[in-house]
Formats: sequence, structure tokens, C-alpha cells
Amino acid sequence: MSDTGASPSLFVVGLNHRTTPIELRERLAISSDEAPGILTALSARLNSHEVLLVATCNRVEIYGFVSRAEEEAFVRAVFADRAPSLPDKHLYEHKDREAVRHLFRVTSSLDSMVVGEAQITGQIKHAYGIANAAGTIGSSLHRLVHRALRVAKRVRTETAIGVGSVSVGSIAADLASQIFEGLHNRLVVLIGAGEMAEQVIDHLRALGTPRIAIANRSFERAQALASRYAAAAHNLGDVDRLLTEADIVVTSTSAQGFIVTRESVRMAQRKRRFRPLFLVDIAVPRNIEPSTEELENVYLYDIDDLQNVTAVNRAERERSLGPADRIVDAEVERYFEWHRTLDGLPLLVELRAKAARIAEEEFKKSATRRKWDDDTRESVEVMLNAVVNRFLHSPSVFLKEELADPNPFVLEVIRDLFALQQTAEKPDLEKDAPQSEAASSSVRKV
Amino acid sequence: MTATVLWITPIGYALAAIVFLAQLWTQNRRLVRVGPAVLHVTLLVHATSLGLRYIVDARTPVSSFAESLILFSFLLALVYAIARLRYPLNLAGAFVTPLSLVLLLAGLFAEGDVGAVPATLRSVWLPIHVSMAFLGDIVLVLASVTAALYLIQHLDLKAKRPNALVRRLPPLETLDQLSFRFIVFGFPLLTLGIITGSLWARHSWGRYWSWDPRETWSLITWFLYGAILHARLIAGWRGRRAAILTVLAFVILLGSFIGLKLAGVGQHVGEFR
Repeated sequence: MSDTGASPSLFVVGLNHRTTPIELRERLAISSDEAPGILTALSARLNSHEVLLVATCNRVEIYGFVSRAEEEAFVRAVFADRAPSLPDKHLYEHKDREAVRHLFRVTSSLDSMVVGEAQITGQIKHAYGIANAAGTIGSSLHRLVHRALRVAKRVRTETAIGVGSVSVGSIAADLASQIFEGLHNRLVVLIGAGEMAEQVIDHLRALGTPRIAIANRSFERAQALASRYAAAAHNLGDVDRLLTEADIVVTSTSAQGFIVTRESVRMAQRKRRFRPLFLVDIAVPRNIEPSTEELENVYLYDIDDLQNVTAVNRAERERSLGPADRIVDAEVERYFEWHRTLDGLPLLVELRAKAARIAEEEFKKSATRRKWDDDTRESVEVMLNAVVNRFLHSPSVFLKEELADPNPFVLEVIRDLFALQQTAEKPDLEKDAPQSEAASSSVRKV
Repeated sequence: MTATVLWITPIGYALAAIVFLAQLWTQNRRLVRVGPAVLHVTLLVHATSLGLRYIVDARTPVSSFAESLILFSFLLALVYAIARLRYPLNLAGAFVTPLSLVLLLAGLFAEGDVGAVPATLRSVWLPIHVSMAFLGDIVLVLASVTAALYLIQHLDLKAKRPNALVRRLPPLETLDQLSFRFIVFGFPLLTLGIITGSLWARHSWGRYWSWDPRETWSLITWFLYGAILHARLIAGWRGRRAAILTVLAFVILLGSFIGLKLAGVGQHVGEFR
């Protein structure tokens, strides 16, 4: 909680949809394949070895527990290495309390392009899973991320933020209804079979019963998703042919380079006799060549364009940010409060438990030997409790005071003095990791 | 007496226009039925006054430019009211009713003293010619109004900055088809208007066609809308380009109808003081 290096504090460097336009975001995008390498490289340079990387189409953020200023520089260097000439104005940094607040806000979808959308929570879980697999999650990040997820849940259940939320999918559906007269029997082509694609398709299906084709690099995944929607599965090689029949195309792959080029759309438009074509590119880096927009009767929206659409009702939703932010603020307080008591509290509990155990053992020994009647048993029990409590009173008061600003040495001495075992909380990562996986896959089904 | 009835109608159009605009602005569901109701009553009053004029004053209500404006405003509102029953044109009322109001007021103020009807205007072909030409013009005006709405919607989608008002417009596809249908419907009427016009010319002046500016402009308009039909049907044009062409045709149509009157040339002008 200080810069002296005593205990590491959270530090974050990042960029998001607000600070950085899509042209830059797509150059800085970090794929799931690259993430472990970056995580382990950075982890090796930090004393705490704790690093988390959050990379979505709207943000790239690196969280690390650092104890010295030099370590902050290591975190920054990750961005500098990827984009040496990136102007500083695109990056933001938060430290300590502000960093914790930032993570809580991001996880609770208060910092999202579409405030209140539920996707980000799953993406944080995913980021945690990747960092965990790369071995860069320690007890501090473990606690922090899990606390963040709990805050997100609280915000979702206690405020109206998710209720009126406009997701990328519903915006795409709104735009589609500005172009098409119903979607019955239209062909919707999904390129990429991720969660975002599913969300969009769910909203589009509310407008009618379109035919759906899913093209994906992995044909198996295309098939898996296709079976859920009674859709046709395709390889990416079929994209040009699908374009000639499509009315709406949604791209969301992690491919580098364009999957849908201006030329392929131009050819397709001639075959389609220039019927309106709605292209939604929610991928970063983008999957559809931007200049495709210039073609006749083609309407192309990338992720930033969708953000512009939300800007209209954003002001309204930001008003409901008030209560959500108050929850986050309270939770940040609680987190630090809890963090403070974390090291001392178990000690006090253990001390009391040990005293109670000794008292009980001695009581049992005497009780069986002397055949006390009920009255005597009761008085002895009361007396023993009184002794234990009075004896532990001053150490308790001392410890509680000490806990406000714990000194590790004092806690160490007390442990030694009363022969308490070293039982500093070791998070059970093995147990939690599969749970988060299960949770994110259930998000996918919604 | 007939004049008094006629002067009530602008109030009706004004009310209808206010309701349609309020509906567009506030998107109040309750107003959806009010606008058309006011419009229907107004049309009834307007029709009555035109009928009275025809019967009581024994005049074809097209014997002066001012009278034809008044008739035009009526037919425009009537065609819209009929088209609205079939197509999602509720919001177009906010454009059509003010247009009717302006045309009607222009006609009423320009009318002045009603003189004797010149001999050349007493012909069976005149009412047929005028109603055909006007109906054709009006349907084509509606084609252009929907094309203009199409362009507004299109520009809004391209600007990526949605406007709450624009989002209430019908979808692009609907507007595109509607504009096309109006042309399919309006073009034959315009054709008939020109044919009956030349029959009337033969009856009045002994010549079918005398290349006066009005006739020439009508022919240009006819070719333009014919070209739009051709582009749509044969060349497969749709969407933006077709819409721009349709709006452009409207400007020329307006020019042929009003511009030439104001310029004061040609035999149509000579007959209509």
C-alpha cells in the first residue's frame, strides 16, 4: 500500500475504445496465442510474479503487482515494445486504489463501450484463465479478480445497469431493421463462431427467422454452433460464395488481415444486383476492408461505429452509473479493509481456537475423572470460558489495532510465541479455475 | 357561401399537419389515429367546397392557375390518404399535409376575382386531362417524397450518427420499393395526362402538339420518369442512385408545373390568367 516496496500494489497500464481509435487498437491487439508469452516474460521481471492481461476488442490492459517504480516501467514496456511510436495520450495508468477501482469498474461493465453489457465479465474470467495457465496468478491477483467478479455480480443484481443495456447485438439488430423489412428468410452469414457472433445472432433472430450460415477457421466449431441454430456450417473458403447470397454479414474472427475484401464485396454486389448489404465487423483487428463502405448500397459498421450508435443513449445510461459507482467505491473500500485484516485476522482466530481447544481438552479430562454433577460442570465451564476470554482480551485488542496497519514481524513473533503454524492463506487455484471456465461457458449459452 | 366553406379547409390541413408533425416528434402512439381522422374530415370539407363550386357556380374548378392549385392540394392529400391505407406512410403525412396546406393557401390568395371562363377551356377533355395529369403528378410527387425519405435514412446510416427522428422512418427497403411502386403507378397516369392533353389541344386549337414550353417540359418529365423505370427494371438500379434520380425528377416536375407559370410563357399560361 505504499511505494516503499514493503508490499506490492496493483498497477495497470492500458488503452481502450475511448482513448484509442480502432486503427491503432487493431495494431496493438493481443491474441490468445500471444498472451502466455507476454505474461511469462513480464512475470519474470516482477518480484511478485503476478500479471494479468485483459485483451478484448475494446481494450488491452496489463495488471501487475509491483513494489518498485522500475517494475512499473516493465509493465509500460509491453506497450512500448509492440508500438514504439504510440503517443502517450492513448495510454492510461492507475495505481493502487485507483487500479483496483478500475478493475472493478471494467469487470462490472461500467467502463464498457456498451455500458452494462455482460460480455466483459466473461472476458475477465477468460483473461484470468489464461494467466492462471501461464502461472502468473498468485494469491493477490487471485483474490482481486475473484473480488472483482463478485463486485460485478453485485452491480448487476443491485442496479438497473444491465436491464436497459444496449448490447452490440441489439444495436446491430436495430440497424438491420433500419435497412431491411423484416429478416424472414434472409441469409445471415457469421464469419467466426465466438460469443459475440452468437449474441448478434440471438438479437437478429428476434426480428424474424433468417437463414444462418456460419463460416469458421475451425470447421468443427462452426458445426457446433450451427447445430444450435439449425444453420449451415462452412469453411472460410466459402466466404466469397456466401457473400453473393448474404444480406447481413457479421465478422468476429481473430484473423490478421481482411477476410472480406472490397473486391470480393464488389463482385458479390454485382451478382446480388445491388440489394442492400449490411456488414457488421466486430473484430479487432478488423476482418472487413474499411473501404468496402464506399460501395453502392453497402452499409459497413465496425466496432467503433457501433459505439457511435450507443453514444446517443449513453448519456441516459451514464446516469444509472451513479448507484453502480457507489457500489464499486464501497467495494474498493471493503477490499482494502479486508486486505488489511487478511494477514492478522487468521492469527487472532487461530489464537482463540487454540485457547478454546486447550480449555475443552482439559475440561473433558477432569470431567470424566471426577464425575461432576450438572451444576458443577456448568460452573467449571463458565469459569474456563472466563479465564480464556480474560487472558485473550489484551492480545485481541492489540491484534485488532495492529491489524489496521500490520507489521509482518510482530505477527511473526506472535505466531512463534504461541506456536501457531504458518497457515497463510494459499488460494486453491486448481479448485477455482475450472469453475470460472464453467461459468463462462454458461454465459455463452445465454 | 362556397368561398366560406373553402376557407375552412386550410384550418383542417393546418390541424392535420400539426398532429402529424407532433406524432413524428413525440412518437406518441395515441396520435397515430388522430392525424388521419383530421385529414379525412378536411378532405370531406374540401371535396364539398369543390363540389359546391362546380354545381352552384357552374365552373370546372381548373379554369385558372389558382383554381388548379386548390384542386392539386386536394388531390395530393386524397392520394396520400388512400396510399396510407395500404403502405406504412404514416410519417410521410408530416410532409404531405404541410405541402397541401401551402398549395391550397397559395391558390386561395392568388384566386382573387373569378372571371368568366374562356371558350377554349370549355371542353370535355379538360377535366379528364387535368385530373389525369394531376393524379400522375401527385403519385410521382409521392414517389419523390419516399425517395427523399430513403436518402435521409441512407445518409443517417452512412453518417454512423443515428438520429432518433430518422430511426422512426420505415426501413430502406420499404422506402425503395414504395418509391418504385409509386412510379409504376404514376407513370401511366402521366402518360394518359399527356395524351388527353393533346386531345384537348386538338379540340381547342386544332393541333395535337404545339411544342409550347409546358408541353416540352411535360415530355422531359415523362422521359425522366421513364428513364427511372427503365433503370430500375432493366438496368437493375435500386437504392441510392434511383432515389437521387427520383428526387431530381421531382425538381423538374415542379419546374414544369409552377416555374413556367411564373415565367409567363406558352399557351397554357395565355389561357390561365
